[in-house]
Amino acid sequence: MKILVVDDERDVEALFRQKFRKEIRNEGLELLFAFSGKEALEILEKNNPPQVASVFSDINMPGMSGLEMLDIIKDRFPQLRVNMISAYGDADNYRKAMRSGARGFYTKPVDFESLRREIGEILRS
Amino acid sequence: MKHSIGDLRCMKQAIAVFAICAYLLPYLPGHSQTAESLKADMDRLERVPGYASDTAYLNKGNELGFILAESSPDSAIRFLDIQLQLCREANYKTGEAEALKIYGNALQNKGDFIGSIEYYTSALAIAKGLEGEVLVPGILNNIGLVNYNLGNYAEALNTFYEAIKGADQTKNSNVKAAALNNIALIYFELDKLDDAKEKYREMLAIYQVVGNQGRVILAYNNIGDVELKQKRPMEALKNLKIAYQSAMELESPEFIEMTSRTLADIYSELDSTEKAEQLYLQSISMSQANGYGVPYAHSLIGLAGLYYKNGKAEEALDLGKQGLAQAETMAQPMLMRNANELLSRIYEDQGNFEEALKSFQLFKSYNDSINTSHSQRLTASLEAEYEFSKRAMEYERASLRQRWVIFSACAGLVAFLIVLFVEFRNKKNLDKAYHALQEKTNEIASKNEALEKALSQLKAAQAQLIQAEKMASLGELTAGIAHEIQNPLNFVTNFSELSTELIQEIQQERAKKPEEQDPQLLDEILSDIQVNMGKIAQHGKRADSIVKGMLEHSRASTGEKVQTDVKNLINECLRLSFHGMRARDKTFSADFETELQADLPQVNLVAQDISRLLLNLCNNAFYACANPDFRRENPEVKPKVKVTAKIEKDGKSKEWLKISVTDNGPGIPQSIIGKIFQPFFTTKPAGHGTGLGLSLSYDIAKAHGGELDVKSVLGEFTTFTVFLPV
Repeated sequence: MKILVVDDERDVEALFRQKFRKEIRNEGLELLFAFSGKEALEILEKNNPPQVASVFSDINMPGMSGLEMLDIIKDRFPQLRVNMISAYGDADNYRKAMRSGARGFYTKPVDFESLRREIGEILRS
Repeated sequence: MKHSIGDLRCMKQAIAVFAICAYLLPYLPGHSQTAESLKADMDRLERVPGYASDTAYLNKGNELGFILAESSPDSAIRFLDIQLQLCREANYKTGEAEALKIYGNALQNKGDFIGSIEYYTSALAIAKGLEGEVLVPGILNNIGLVNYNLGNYAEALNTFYEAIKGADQTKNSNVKAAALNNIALIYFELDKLDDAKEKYREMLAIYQVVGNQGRVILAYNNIGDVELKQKRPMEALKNLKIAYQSAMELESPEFIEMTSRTLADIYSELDSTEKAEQLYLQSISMSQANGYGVPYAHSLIGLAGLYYKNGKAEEALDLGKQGLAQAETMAQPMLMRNANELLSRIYEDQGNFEEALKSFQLFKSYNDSINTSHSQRLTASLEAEYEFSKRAMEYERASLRQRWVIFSACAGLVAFLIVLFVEFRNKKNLDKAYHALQEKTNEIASKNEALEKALSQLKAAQAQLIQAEKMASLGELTAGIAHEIQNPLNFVTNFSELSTELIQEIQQERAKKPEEQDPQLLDEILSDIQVNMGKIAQHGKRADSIVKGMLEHSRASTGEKVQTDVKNLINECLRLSFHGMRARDKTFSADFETELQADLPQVNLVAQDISRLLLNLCNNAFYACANPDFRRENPEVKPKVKVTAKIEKDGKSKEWLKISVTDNGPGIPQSIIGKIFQPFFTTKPAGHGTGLGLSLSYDIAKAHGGELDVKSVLGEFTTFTVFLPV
């Protein structure tokens, strides 16, 4: 089960890999990382339908923003679950993300327990 | 006729006297001294050694000589020979000229006219060589008198005229009056009685001003004489009464004799026989006593005529003979003629026809001679008059010139006053203008003060604005900064939590039985913890540097240049700007890239200021290409900001750090590209920009000795390039 994490902060990778060490080791979770929206779309487009079960993306990124990317993903891969993560937990971003078909909306600093629940759900489905 | 004949000599004498006196006046104020007192003075001066060259002594000598010349010409001549000698030895020119003139007086009084004129001429030659020529007019007057006595009326008139001119020039009114008298005398002789009277009146006026009583008496006497000749005996009597009264008051025998003689002529004319007789007798006795030769003859003949009129033939004959003899002695043709005429009548009445004929023949002969000489004189005087009028005109012209000069001076003065007045008015106007100017100056000064105050206020305001701009841009950056801090803080939080979890995992692992423990896992966890600690430290520092940068940005510039890592500075600014834009505008979306020369050196600059400059450029670039309106209108454009930095050499091999910030926004229209560096110029909606960003950026570049340029193509790109000296 592949999950794509999109964030321009590269340390996010280390963070996620450690956080989900058990899931990776024991539950067959595979984490993919993209450091921009563009990179994320490239990964997704390698296979259609994509081999990725879910996308967790930051909104605030240089170049393509997370929300822009969300629109594109929903346009191309309507079934793909996309969760948005934002440093700014404002209603505007939330509304926008939800309207664009985001499954969840997480605010930084990320509550990894709820994130783990979500990933667990994905893994079990 | 007989009055005038008799009068002439008398007047001559009187004139000669006063003319000399007039001359002496200026330096002999005490001329009233008697011969005795003068001698006493001289005796006293003689006691001092070297007295002979003492001018005071020599002046006294001349004064005495003058008195002697009048009273005793012969002794005067002896005295004056020595006096002349002394003056010459003392080289006292003034004294010598004076002595020569007095010598001439003495000779004239003796009847030696030719001799006198020689002395006068010598005196004149010396006088003309003296400073101011003050002696000249008096000498000329005396020369004129000699000429008159010689019957040379033309020459006499000329000389008197010269004398008057000289007297005017030397302001010698006494000599002028004397010359006037002498001119009058000639007019009298020529029967120009009105003219003669006019000259006498001029003379009288001068003497009245001068206050010379004797000369006033003479003037009245002579005016009366003219009036008598004009057959106006009553008027003559009035003037002579004044003259006689004055003469009595003056107790002067000369003037008493003279006035009584003229009065006698008048009374004789008026047939006041008794008074006339008495006065003639007085004149005769005084003339005899004082040796007045001509007056003596005149009065003898006058009294003889009076007696004859009153039928006293014997007395008349006797007196007539005496008078004739005296007249012959004095060589007076007029008197001789008058005497012979009278005698011939007496002889005829007595029947002595032989004597009568003789007398008549003599009378006829003198009369012819007089008439001949008279006609000659008339001819001469006509010539003289012509010459005189010419001279007079010349003189008139000269005095006219003088008057013209005076007039010119007056006109000049008036003009000067006018100019002065105009100047005064001008000055007043100038003063007014000056005051107005001063007011203006004060006004300007106070305005200047106000302006300076305003300027300093403006400077303060500008400083405040700069600070406000900083704070505004800081405000713009707040969101970005918050994000920039939030991210590292999140990592710090996350990695520390993670590490705690990892430690718990280790503990759990160690709680297991040793054979169940996975040493590989433990190693993995430990190495993760180590990495995490590194991440915590790294992100802590990152947050720290962001806070420091923010503080630095808000702080006033120290203006201190420090070696700065340009690459870091650019990345920091770019990210800060980007996140700031993103934080404020949720829809914001832009890409950015950097193209930084790999070996970019450290550059000495005021990092704080340059970072502000770069932030401004980046903010503008992101705003230009990624603001919502632009993206809505140009959906196909992918907003992108590119920052490049490299070292370039200019034509003079000088190295420059060149940083360019390019955006693919709409570009800047040519119409406003010239204004973008002006303060307060902004294209942003109200409330979105201070309009100071680029202006301050420009100032910062300039302050670094650098440049800030802009290039833009509408619809394609805008590039701001800053050049900073390395």
